[in-house]
Amino acid sequence: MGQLTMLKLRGKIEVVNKTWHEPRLLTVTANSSLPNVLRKKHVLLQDKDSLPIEGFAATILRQSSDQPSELSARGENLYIVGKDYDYLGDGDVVRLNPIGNSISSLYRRESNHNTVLLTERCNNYCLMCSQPPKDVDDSWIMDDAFELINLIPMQTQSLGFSGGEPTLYGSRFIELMRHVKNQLPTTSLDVLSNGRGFKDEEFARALGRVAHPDLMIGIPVYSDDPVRHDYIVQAQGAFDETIRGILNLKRFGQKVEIRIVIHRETLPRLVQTCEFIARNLVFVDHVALMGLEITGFTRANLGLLWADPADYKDTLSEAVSVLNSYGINTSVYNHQLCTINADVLPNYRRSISDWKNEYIDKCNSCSRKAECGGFFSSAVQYRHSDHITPFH
Amino acid sequence: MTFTLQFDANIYSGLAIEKACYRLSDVLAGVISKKDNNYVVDITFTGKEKSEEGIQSTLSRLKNEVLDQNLREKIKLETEPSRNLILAYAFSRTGLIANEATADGANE
Amino acid sequence: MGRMSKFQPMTFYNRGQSNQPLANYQLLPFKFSELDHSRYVMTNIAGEYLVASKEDVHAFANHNLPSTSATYINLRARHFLTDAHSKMAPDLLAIKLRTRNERLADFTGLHIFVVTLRCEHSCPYCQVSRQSEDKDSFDMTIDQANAALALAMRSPSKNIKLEFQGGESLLNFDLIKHIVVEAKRFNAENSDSQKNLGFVIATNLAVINDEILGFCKEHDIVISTSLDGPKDLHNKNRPRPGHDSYQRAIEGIKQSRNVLGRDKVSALMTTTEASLNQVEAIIDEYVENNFNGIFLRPLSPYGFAIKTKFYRAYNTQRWLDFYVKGLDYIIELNRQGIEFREHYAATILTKMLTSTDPGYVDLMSPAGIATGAIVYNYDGAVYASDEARMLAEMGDKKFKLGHVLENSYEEIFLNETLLEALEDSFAQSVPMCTDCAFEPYCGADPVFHWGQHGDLVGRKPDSEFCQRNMSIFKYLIDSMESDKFVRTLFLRWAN
Repeated sequence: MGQLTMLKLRGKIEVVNKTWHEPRLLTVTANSSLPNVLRKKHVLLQDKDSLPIEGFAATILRQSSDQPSELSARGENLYIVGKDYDYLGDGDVVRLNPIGNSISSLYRRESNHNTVLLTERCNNYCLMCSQPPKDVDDSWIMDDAFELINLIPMQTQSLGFSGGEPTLYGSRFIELMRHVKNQLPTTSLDVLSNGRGFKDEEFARALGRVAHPDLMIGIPVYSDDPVRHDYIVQAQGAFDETIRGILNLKRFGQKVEIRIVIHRETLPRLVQTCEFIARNLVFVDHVALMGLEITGFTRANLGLLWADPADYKDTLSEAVSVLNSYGINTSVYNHQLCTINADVLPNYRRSISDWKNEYIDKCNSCSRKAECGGFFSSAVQYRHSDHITPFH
Repeated sequence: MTFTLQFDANIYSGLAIEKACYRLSDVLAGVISKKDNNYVVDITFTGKEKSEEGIQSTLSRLKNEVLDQNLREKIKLETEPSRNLILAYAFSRTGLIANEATADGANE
Repeated sequence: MGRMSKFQPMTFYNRGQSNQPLANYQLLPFKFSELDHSRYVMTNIAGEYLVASKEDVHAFANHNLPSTSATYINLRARHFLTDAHSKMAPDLLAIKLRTRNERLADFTGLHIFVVTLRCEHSCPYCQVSRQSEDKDSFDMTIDQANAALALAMRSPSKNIKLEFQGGESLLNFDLIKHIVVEAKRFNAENSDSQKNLGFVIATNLAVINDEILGFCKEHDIVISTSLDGPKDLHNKNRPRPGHDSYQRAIEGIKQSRNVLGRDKVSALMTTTEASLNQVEAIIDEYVENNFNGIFLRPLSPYGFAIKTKFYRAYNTQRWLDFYVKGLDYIIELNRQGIEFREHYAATILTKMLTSTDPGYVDLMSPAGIATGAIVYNYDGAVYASDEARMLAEMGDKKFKLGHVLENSYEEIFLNETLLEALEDSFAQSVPMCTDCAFEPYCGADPVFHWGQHGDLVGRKPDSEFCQRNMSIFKYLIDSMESDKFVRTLFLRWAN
């Protein structure tokens, strides 16, 4: 009961009685009677007081106050999790790392949209990046991704890929797309990318050849002004590469979504940017206008970026109106109902992901709470509109 | 009564002057000759209007007409490539444009 | 941890070659024309406009515009210049230009069949002679209709619209039925070049009945009728025996809508001397009768208008006053929440605000004569446009391209006069038009200019076509610049 809060997807935990010493991807099951032949690929999810069951690759034990030493005879490969991991459920896929003593949730069956991180490297350095880039060789993440795809159930409706910049893997990225198409032929995909890699015609063509039936690339364009866009992504020449990438992707039949994060540096030309899209990129499949998420670099740059949605509601209305006039599919995310004008309602979406929504105390008396997307937990914690007003 | 106008041959083409005279041939008759680097037009007024004002007005019309025809010629020449391109594109799917192979010979 | 978390300011990304803000820039092709005493309208090669102060435009052209100025940033974003910070403009402009011109190769989309010259009305402004009901020599024959249909289907356009006009077209309804059925049969038999067929009947609705409407419903035919304004104005403009043109039109509209649906019945008004001081009443009439828009048309200087000295009463400025007042009134209606649009403005706005070609014959360059629309007359003669037909009725057959039973498709569309008219009137090759910022929104109208000035091109300073259109272009742009509501409204109209 109670509202969903920010989930802890990965962290350090106690690991006891290890018999294997390399990271493994395993499917979670709560079924202690799982046929023997399947147990090696599964990790059993149990309460601490349950009887130990044999044959599973590992066991995740939900925390109690007992000391780990009491588990010395309880069985092998025990991964002890606290309340933070109460969300874990049957059908999830986790990465268990006995070397680093950690657990990561890679796929949650309950989620209506899972996103797979492919790398933390990036060739942009956005002022508001929610996943600050790291310049390390993390290609092991890509290796894991291939394996993860094998474990994800075929009836999964949708799957996302992001980073960092996924296309930095070049042809390996294309292979991954082909692999997903083969393993999950009816799953719709979205990939978040800065699009710059697709300035290379051959790379775009290669993705086109995969001929995925339902794949959309989500690419940020932060301004119609190349200088402003380059500034926001902190990379000289990024605008041209991104636009060229979008054009190439469309040439080869690929669906493209344009994403714009709304903050003080994009606001001065938000309407012109939408007009630019309408005049030059009218063939894009979707435009997403997004509220600021107060994580990563956004927190460091908050003084530069923060704008109260209540103050920019008219600009948002105008921007949406431009896109609607040209018949471009447009959605507005990450805003609260009381911070937008009514004319934006047809384009308003409750949320992107189901697990990030929270509300503040004021919202308890709001008559439209159920239709409202609420806040990111980061917004609740750090910064949100000063003009949140419940509807009556 | 004859009036004479001179047009600098560096700027105006003979053809433009001819066309202009022709267009106003309902009210005047022009005889064109070339002297040094100028076109000379001897004008006889044949129209009904014989007043000083009327004649000046007709002369102005002629001057404007020469200018107009001159500009048409220059601009038409300058814009020929893009005009041909667009007209060819407009007719491109009608089946009315001759094949490259059967159109004007290579050396025409 | 990799790169230091150091963020650069915007000026870092706006550096020129010597680390100074003013960067070199190159001009991309553009034209400019005066909007008013202090501003120019600039248009780029793809027909997108930008309004700027005269000083800014001069500075821009002289390479003195600082790269930090708002105008500079707009000029770069709208593809009037390139500089070191972006080289995307040429490719994007090429795509837009290609899109703008795409429809040209579709060629003739509108095919007008004048199925009869007979009509029981005697409208003074009518483009065709009045003929009484019993003159059967003024009906198109079946042979002519078949030949005309074959010519129409020969068009490379995927979308073919067959429009039936007259006289009063319904007086020869049998032939209309024949042509519709034949057209569909032809289409079904030619599966490799299937067309999307659209049918329109232009009628005064005085003789509409259930049988006709049933046929229209069965074959998805839409109705276009005349409604000149309130009852007195309409009846004065459109006399018929019984003096009941208005009542019949209104009843006919209701009846047609009941059978076909509201969106299948449209109306056109014709502007006369009597209309000029009643624009709001005319618009009210359309609003009251549940139309979602009106086309405020200029009076065309052909046919009966000249014969009955009607035309003298009309001049450009008075019509412009009429138009602007009407447009302002319509904008007011929209401000009050009534969705109603002016169709001529909407057509122009499509050209101004999108790369889509609305395919409006009178505003096309190359001219829309034959390339956009063509007329098959009741006597089998083929005319390059409706205007060309009207000119012929006045005795000037310059733009008669041939005869459906005597000339082939090649002979008709390669007619010397036609080709000469297309080439000579090409707007970008014509003095004044070639430099005009509004040329992307305008068109060549060689038939009008031939009729008025005896010249396919016309002298644009003297041309009413030019004066009228330029005034409208400036008015639309100025309105959008000064009023956000209008800009938002016009954006919707444009799409």
